[in-house]
Amino acid sequence: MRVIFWKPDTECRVPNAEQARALYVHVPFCGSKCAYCAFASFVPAPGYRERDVQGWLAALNMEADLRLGGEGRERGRGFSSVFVGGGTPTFLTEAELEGLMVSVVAFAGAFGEGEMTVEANPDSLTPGKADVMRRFGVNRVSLGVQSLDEILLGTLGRRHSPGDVRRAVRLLRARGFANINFDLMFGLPGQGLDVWKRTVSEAVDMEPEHLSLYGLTVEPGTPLARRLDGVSGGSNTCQLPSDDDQADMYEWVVDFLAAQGYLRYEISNFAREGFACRHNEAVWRGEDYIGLGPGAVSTEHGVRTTNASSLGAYIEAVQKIAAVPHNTNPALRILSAAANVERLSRDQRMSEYMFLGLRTAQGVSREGFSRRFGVDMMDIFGHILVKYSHDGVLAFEDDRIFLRPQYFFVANAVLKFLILDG
Amino acid sequence: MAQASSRIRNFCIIAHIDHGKSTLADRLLEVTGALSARELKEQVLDSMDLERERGITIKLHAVRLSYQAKDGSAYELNLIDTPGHVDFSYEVSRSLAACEGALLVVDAAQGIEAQTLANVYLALENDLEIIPVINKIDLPSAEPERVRQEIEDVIGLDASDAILVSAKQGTGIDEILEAIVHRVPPPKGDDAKPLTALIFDSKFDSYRGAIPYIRVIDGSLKRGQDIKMMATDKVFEVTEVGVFAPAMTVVEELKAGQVGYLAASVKNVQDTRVGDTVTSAKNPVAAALPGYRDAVSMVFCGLYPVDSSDYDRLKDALDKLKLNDASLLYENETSVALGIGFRCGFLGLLHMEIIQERLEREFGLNIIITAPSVVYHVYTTKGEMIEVDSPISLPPPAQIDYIEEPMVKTSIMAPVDYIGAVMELNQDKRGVFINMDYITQTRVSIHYELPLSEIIYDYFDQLKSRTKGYASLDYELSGYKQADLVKLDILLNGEIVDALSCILHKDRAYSRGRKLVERLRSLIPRQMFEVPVQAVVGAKVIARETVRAMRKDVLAKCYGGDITRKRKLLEKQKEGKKRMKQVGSVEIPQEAFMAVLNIEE
Repeated sequence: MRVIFWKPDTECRVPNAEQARALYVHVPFCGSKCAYCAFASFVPAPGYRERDVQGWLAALNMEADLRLGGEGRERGRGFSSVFVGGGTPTFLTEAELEGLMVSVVAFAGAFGEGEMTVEANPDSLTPGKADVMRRFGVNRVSLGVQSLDEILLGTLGRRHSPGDVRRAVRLLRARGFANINFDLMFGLPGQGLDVWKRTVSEAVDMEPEHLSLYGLTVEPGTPLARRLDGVSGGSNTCQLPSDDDQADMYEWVVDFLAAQGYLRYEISNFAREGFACRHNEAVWRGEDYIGLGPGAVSTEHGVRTTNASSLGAYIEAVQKIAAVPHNTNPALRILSAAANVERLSRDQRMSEYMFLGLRTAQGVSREGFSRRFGVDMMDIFGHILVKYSHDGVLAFEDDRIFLRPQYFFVANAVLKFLILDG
Repeated sequence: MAQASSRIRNFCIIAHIDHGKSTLADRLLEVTGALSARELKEQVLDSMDLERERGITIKLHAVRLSYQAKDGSAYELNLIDTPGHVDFSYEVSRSLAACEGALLVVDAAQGIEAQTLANVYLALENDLEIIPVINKIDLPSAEPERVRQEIEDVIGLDASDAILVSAKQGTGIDEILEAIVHRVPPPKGDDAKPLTALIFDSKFDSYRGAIPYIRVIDGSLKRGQDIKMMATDKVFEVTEVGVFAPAMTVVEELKAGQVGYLAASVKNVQDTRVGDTVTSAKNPVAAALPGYRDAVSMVFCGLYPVDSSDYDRLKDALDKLKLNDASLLYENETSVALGIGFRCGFLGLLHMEIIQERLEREFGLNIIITAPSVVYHVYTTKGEMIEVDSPISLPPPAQIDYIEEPMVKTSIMAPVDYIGAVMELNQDKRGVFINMDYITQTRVSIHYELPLSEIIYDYFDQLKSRTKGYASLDYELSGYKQADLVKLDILLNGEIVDALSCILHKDRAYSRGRKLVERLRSLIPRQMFEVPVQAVVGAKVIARETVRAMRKDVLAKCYGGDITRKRKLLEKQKEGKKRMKQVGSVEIPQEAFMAVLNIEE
């Protein structure tokens, strides 16, 4: 039996909706908090580590029961991708990681040929943890490299050295991991084009199958934001590169990676042929996804829920809901466990479909759109799409509409017009 | 038969801005008991907020004071307030025509200013008895003797009995009241003659319609009487007559010499025109009172809503303002760049600014105004003359034989130290020197003829800054003169943005064009494409700048956990764009349209 969220409502019902095939699991722990980080992650207080990890894992299982349903777990949800992120999954000990993986495999059910990613930090990835991953079917490892420049790693508050990255890659390769991603950041304080070029070249030398390159966003309230606020034109190690400088970095890296055989399949993502991240692709296609753990977000059938981001609040919410008798409507139980519930309007879902899809190289599918929303994309967004294709910013090809690559770095200038007011 | 009017005195106050007219008026109200000090919400006469902020009177008001004179008799003193700005000189002249006397208020520290002088001459033309009042004698820098001498030298008035006053401290107020009673002649009218009344102001009341403020010259006026407005020939039945005491107070009858108002269900202020004569419909006088003229718009500009969906609101707002302001003209205008809006005519720049501010403040509208223009006489090759008040309606150069522009004669009063600065400014503004008089040994009056278009463009500000605020200005229209005028167009991305065009002298075109494109380059945000900004005269590009293409406008990586947040970021960006005008493929912020208004040269 399929669980129907809320009472029937045409506005909310998604025609031909498939069940979520992407599962995210959040590990909220870190060895230390990075200077730029605004994610739901924290460093457990001394002496409380075990309590926190066990409490989290127990709550995670309870949440999975609620969201996926015992029945569903037995049948298998038919997930095509699982992504274990953080935080820092490799903060967990070998034994804890194994405990997590036991659960994850249970959540995912009959997983088959799917993609299973675990994020790892170069400093905390050990041979033992890599073995655990391998054993439980992890087939993709995403390394939080961020930079290969000692000074910048210090600026960001990362715990690893460039040498740790090399060691981690060797270790993974030795165990047969054939799909490795590097996260790299640009637009960092004091980062010049030359430093960026060196980092990317050295990264490519290590031959990751996938590169995720993202521009630094300084989030308010982070140590980095405070540091940058305190600087008024002072030492340039703490100044952000200008937009033009960042554009230079981006343009260079696009050309460089193309020459190295990496395809840009989304604004920030590059991969060798066949190594695009399926988990992210599902999200960008506007498909439903389920997130478990503190701060995790799920979007199913037009309803987006966000879990409490602090571990304590998350555990409390899940426990409270789990105590409610099982004959209560599971959908309502899940909603009341969430810290935030957003019911997406049809306009919002259409807007998201467009702005996420147009960030990818293949763009959006008109057929896919009308299948999803029961209306031709051109009836909704026609005048903007035509105007910008006229200007050469967008291109139409068969069923697809996509952003021309030279405009990827100014994508918002178009995407904002695809946000409907409703 | 001794007319009751022998106990009536009608007077006004002539003063320069800041010379203390409003404070003095307040004192007169207070001393005569028209209002208690507590009721005096500081400067009752200037009741509009804007007026208070600017310290000037925009619309006139009137008030009746009851004064028990030292001779034992009670007098009815009607104070008719006058606006203190050159834009409203016609209104001033009509107010003066409703009076027999005027208080000439001069600041004891500053002396006579150009505007004051112009109004004194107007008062003399109207045969008003002038009572010099030297105000602010409490100031440490007061020089009443010097000012007394100045009044005698400049105006030729006997100032030996000028009254020394400190309106602020309340000294000399009784003397003023006595002087009004004894020196201002009573009105000469005759109750028995057919009705003649002068309209010196009007206001719109949503219940009673347009209400003219009147001075009855001859005859009398009662409820139920049929009256005729002589300028429009329209007849109305009077529903109410009253006086300002100081609030509108109904009376049985208004007689010759009295000042008050009438209500007659007049639909709009177009039918209660300032300067018009009210007469009896049954027994009309043959000739209207002299001096009436239609309001003449000197300055025109385009008014457009920033958000085109506000067009109806803007129209409603203008309709409402027009109810009270017959001199405000507007008609539809369509700009390629700005969409549908209005071409509006104003008495002058101040009038324009007032309307603009009221639209923004009272009606909460966000508007774009285009560069103010004067009315050009364009002679076509076909031998016709057309009046052009907007660059949008200027015919193409091939059809123009020549263009004439309106000229003004200015009179600038300034301390001798600033003669050089004043002359330099006038030369810069294409002025032709007429003459210069020494008012006193230290002050001069300088006369120039210059194009009106130069006055409406940055002239007041320049005069003020170059003379440190010591100069004052008066001007009057002096006719039309041929000039070498061209249309300067601004092209964005190769397309003319009509709302940025202006008509100007050929010699100005290069520097104005240069400054304008520089300014626009800095005001227009970077767009997806490079945007060339060009200033063009005819087919010739005289200046060019480029707004470089934007290179970064992108969201960092989007993962499943932050889609809502990313969507909201885009929503916010889109919201910001709504305040921009999309012209062709270029987004132009409101400020860019305003840039043309204040480019310093």
